[in-house]
Amino acid sequence: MIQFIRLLNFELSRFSKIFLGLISLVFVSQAGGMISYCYKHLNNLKTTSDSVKSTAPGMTPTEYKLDIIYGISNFFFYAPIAVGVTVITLYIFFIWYRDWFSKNTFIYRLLMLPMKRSYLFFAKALTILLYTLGLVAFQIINLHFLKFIFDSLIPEAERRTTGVIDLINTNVYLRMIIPSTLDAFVIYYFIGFCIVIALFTAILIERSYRLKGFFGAIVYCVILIASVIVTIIFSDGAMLFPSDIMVIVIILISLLATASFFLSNYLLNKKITV
Amino acid sequence: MKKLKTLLIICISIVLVFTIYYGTLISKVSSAAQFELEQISGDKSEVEDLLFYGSNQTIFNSEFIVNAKGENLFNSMSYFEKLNSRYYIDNNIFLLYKEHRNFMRGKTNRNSFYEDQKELVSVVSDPRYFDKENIEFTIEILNKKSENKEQYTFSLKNDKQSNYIDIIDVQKRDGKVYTMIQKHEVQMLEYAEIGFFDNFDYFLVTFDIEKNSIDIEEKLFDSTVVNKKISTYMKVDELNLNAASRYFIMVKTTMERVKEGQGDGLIDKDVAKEFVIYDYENKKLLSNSIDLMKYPNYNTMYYSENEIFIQIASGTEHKFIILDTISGKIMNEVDLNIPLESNLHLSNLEDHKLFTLTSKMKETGPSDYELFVTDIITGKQLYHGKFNTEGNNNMMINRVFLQK
Repeated sequence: MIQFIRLLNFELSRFSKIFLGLISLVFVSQAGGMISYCYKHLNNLKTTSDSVKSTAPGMTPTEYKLDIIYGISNFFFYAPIAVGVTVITLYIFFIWYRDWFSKNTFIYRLLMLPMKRSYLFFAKALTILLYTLGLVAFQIINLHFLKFIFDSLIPEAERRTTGVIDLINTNVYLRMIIPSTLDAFVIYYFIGFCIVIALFTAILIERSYRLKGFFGAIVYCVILIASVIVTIIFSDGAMLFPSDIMVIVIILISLLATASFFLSNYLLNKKITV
Repeated sequence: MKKLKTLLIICISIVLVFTIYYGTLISKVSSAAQFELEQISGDKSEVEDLLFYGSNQTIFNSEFIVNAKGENLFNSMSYFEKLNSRYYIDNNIFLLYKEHRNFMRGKTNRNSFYEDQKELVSVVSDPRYFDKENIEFTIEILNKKSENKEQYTFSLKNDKQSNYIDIIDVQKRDGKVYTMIQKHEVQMLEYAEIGFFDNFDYFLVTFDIEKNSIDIEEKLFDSTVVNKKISTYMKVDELNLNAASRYFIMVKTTMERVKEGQGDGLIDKDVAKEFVIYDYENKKLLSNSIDLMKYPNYNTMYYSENEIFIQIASGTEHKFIILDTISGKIMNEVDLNIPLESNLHLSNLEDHKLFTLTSKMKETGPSDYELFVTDIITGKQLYHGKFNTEGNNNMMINRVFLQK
């Protein structure tokens, strides 16, 4: 077990600088965007409020106030999230190919380590999961910081008191990465982890059979995606509750991930070439 | 430990952040929909079995179904059960879902059930058909005692290539299942000077369960254009939706497109409004003498076996009228004692009690809800209360119903 933990720590360390770069980008860009939003709207606040205050007949007028919800709806907020998602997606492939294409064919040394080769597979998969969760966790922390900036710059009388939880749950993109319930969070990231396992298997198919493997990996991914889609379509037609369909999909994805892992283990032990 | 620095920092950070975040979220959501129903007058026991369905506009997915104490039923549900929340939106569906969960799979049309002491009948049309040659119907009959389910499928020729159908009433008599369907014809009706109008036809389809055949597809009403006047139909809500009913009632509105004021603006003006009634027992169309143009401000309408109920809620009056279905005679008329400045938000009639929810309209939506419970026979106000939401003006109540 200690060998696995050491390997995991090693894999995490290899990405740590990129990760620090990513969270710095998120911090600087989002904080800069929020400061810019606050100053821009502080200047316009008086004129804007006058125009918005006019209400439809029969409605009780309510005072116009700035809301942090709109303060995060800009390029500076979303761009670093998009960069983070892209980098981690690319790293799913890079984490393997780097070991083959680095100067000293590092994969040779990794495969020669006196431990189960499946440890290598899981260490890399967990690295992706942990850095994804790490990035999401940093986003939650940074949202509190953004709220602090917003509350500090906008006078209390001029702002709405939207909390970070409301902020996340009213934003469609944030809700995708930070689900609104704990069980949904576990399910989303479990499915994400299964997808990473399937992609790793595709990479190992390609590494084992090279050109043939490349096409094999594509076929493999298509089969997995098709099996999930077909299951959803048939389940929907079979008049099931949405919860039934979700359970079926989760079981199917778990089975596919398990099969993918066994296939990967086989390839790592019997077929992989350096 | 020092060697595992990266792993430890990342793991501890993740665990801490998500524990704090979801811990706070759970405590916040549990209080998100809560309110206090503050009694102003009447008897508290009148609202003890009430459920309020709605959502909190600032917290996504924070739908709630709460009782008069403000306890949220959704809070005790798992993620999977919450996925089925569409079964909680409608009172009829909600009660059937609670009682016959397995039978209710895939069934969300509130008008597609018939229920008596022995059986629960459901009619479902193939939801995936568009412009197909045949419309597939599945009839399921649940024996409530043995829990055995029988299933029958029927195919009906789609002569006019309708692109949409809706089941609006189901009755079972003498071993036959009578199903009222609304068909949306692909061809729209050309109407007045501008544009077109959606073309709906209303059919009665009779399924003979024993012979496993379709007896009749009978066209009862259709949207028509005569002298640039269009007739449209609107179903009246049944008081006991699933119960056996002799009649099926719709409101027929005839409209004319006329110029408004001095400009070129055109509006649709009602020129006639009446009830059209189908008698399942004698299998014929009836009409009564009620001129609905006399009640231009009516908000809600229901019918039961022999009565039609009309609620009028406007800035000038809040009253409730009970009419005889066939003669059209006014059986009872009561003043609801609701302040005239209150806007009707929604109402529900159950067990001869009218539950009226009023609200004030603000920019953020309706708020400052008040609840009135009135006995529609005596006109006595049984309960009046207001919702104390502790400054939460983002709460939207969509339905109120009795928990049976």
